[in-house]
Amino acid sequence: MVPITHFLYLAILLFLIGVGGVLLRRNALFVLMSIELMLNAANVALVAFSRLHGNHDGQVFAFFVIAVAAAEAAVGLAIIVAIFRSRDDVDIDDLGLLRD
Amino acid sequence: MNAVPTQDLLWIILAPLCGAIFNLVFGRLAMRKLPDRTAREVVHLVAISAVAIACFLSFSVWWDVMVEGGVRRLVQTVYPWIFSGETMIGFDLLLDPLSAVMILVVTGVGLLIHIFSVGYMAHDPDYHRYFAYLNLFMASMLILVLGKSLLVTFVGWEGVGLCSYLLIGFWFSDEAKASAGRKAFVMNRIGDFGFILGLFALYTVVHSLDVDAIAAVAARGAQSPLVTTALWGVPVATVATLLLFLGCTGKSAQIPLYTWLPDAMAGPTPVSALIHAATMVTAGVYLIVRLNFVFALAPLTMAIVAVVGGVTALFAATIGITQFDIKKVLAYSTVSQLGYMFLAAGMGAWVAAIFHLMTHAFFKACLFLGSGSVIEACHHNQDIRTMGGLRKKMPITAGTFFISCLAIAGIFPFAGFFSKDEILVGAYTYASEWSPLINYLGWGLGTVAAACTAFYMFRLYYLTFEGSFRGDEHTWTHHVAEYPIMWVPLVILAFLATVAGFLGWPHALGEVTGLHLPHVLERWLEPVTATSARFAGPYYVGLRDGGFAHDGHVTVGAEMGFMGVSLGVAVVFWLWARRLYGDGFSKEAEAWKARLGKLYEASLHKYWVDELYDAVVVRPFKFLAKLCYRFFDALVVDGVGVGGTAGLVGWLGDVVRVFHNGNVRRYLLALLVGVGLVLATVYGNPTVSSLEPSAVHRVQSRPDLGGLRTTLGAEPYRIEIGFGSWKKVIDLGPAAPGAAGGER
Repeated sequence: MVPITHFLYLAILLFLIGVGGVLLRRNALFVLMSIELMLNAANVALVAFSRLHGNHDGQVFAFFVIAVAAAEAAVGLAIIVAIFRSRDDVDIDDLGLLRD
Repeated sequence: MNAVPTQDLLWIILAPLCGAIFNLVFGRLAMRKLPDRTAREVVHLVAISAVAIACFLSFSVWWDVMVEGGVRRLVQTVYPWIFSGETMIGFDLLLDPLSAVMILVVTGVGLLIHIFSVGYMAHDPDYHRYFAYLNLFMASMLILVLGKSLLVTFVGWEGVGLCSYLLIGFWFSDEAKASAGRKAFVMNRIGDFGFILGLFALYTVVHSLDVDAIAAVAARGAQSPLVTTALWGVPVATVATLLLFLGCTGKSAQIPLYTWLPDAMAGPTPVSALIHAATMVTAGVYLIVRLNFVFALAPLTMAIVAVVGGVTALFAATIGITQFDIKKVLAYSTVSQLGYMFLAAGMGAWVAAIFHLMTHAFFKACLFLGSGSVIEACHHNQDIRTMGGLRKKMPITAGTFFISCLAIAGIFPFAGFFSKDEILVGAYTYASEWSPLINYLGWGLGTVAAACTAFYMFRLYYLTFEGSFRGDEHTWTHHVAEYPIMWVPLVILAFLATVAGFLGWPHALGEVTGLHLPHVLERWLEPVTATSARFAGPYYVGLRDGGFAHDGHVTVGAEMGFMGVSLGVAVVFWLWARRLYGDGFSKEAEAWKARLGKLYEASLHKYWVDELYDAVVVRPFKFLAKLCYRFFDALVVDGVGVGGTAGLVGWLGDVVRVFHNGNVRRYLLALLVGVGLVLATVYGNPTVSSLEPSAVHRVQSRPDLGGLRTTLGAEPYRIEIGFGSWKKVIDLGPAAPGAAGGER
């Protein structure tokens, strides 16, 4: 059996990749994808602990997260597409209109 | 016996108060909305009827209860005012012979002056404000007089001070007048400070400020705790009365706090008549007579009161001789006459003090109102150098003014003769427990002051009303006529100034003329004034040894002698003043001026007392204030306090703004760094990492968790944060069982 630490290291790795993507990339599409990565890293951790404890709550949570992530991806992509159509660009650093 | 409803006393105060409130609230509206004439009618009718009601109630309660009913003391409990521990102060009103005299004088003279004001202020735009303040003053003065507890009296005392300030600075757009108001207020504050300290001193012994309670304590005479208890080695009675007397010098314009009164003439003339001549300034005399039993226990204070009174009487009179402002002469005359009252009070001649208070209220109110008429007629010119011959234009004013001059100068049979004579006789014949020298000093000062009084009053009269007019042609031809609303009060006051003296017909005069009139006032006031003689015991108040006493009266020969001296002096100086000023400034007057030289200068410049106070007190004080302002206020409060706080907040904002720039990724980075720090603290800490699973909450799991087993909240653990030598230990989670976890 694969020890839980492996799962956790994987989750950490995925999460860090996600964080790195959010922090370093300026393309909104990449940021969205990186967020998906972080969510999935959490899912991995949840499922792994669920299996460790022999308790299915974690897996239920993972499903919820997937559902939310799907909704979020749909809305996020729609916004990004709309922004791209109006501005021909999805650089998040340039999207400060509402702040000013 | 007591058939009068109990509200009566209270309504004496409430009526003018209601008038004041009405005019303060609706007066401005009325003046703005109604036609000018109607608005003025409304304002002064409300004000005058308020005072008229108070006057009517005073007379009715006095007549029904005190004269007809034979009740000499009426106490009305309005409501318990202050309850605190053992202190109980009721808002009680007391009507006894003394306060009865006062309320009759205050409401009576006040009513006449209100009526006169209608004429004097007829064209003033702030008509409603004037009458509101005047009514407020009446209410305060009546509280002062009727208060049974000294604290209630103090409320009135402060109230009249406030109204005095408001009315002196009534035309506040003129800086000089506004500053005169401030001066009066500050001077009175100094006195009031003494007053309230005096109250504290009395309270330490009596544990009450009720007049009756104080009387009960004082009744034990020399054994009274007022005498036996010492404050800094001085009997409390002496300390308290000295402090109270300081209050009196402020309110009643005695040396050293008298300088505000001449300046107070900046106010409207009827105000000078009401507040600064007839009523408010006599509050100090009233207070001393009210507390005569306490003052009797303090011979030192009595001596000081007498000497201060006598010196003030002469001092102010000598200044009055050379003044050219008609109101300034009267102001110094007021200070001087108040000095007489204090002289009498200091000698224990309480009746004489109140007698003079009453007669002075009549003739000085008449003089002031007469001067008001003159000022109004001369287009608000107050300089007697540009007057003269006004008798032809205003015969009634001149006549009443002359009668009042006779009265104040002490010419038989006008009121001032009787009261002043009684004071001078009292000054000579009453025993002073301090030193018999006081007798000679007081009498001497009083007699010389009487000479000055006759001189400056008739100088004023002749320069104003006789001779030929020295002003310009325009003023003479466009002279304002005398209106009935102004001369009727004058005539009534002059009448009172003529006959009031018969209330105090001296016994000796009865012996000589065969006309035996009772000394009405003395009999009337006896319940109040006799207490000092009854209580004082060894502190004797009354006629001294020396062959004056005869059946409790001064012997006929002695009294006639004093009368002769004072009458003779008055007549001589009257005639001299007539010779010098009968027709303008004569050559002889100029010659005297040259002969007196420096003395004349000193008197003309009021002995430079104002300049002295300015140099000794005002300037250093202003300097100190400026110092405080520059250093403490501008530097510490504004700079470090206000500016520092604002600057600190601003700087913090600048610092925080760098992080709060709206860049989400930077927020995220900050979040990560924070989480990383927390995790590093928790897991990088050997104490935490090596903790065994708690015995209480053992996680059902396999042992191999790579150190991630301990999660926040489930186990007791300890966080140690340290930078260099600084170290902080935080214990988190469920309380460690038996501290076993923490000790590792």
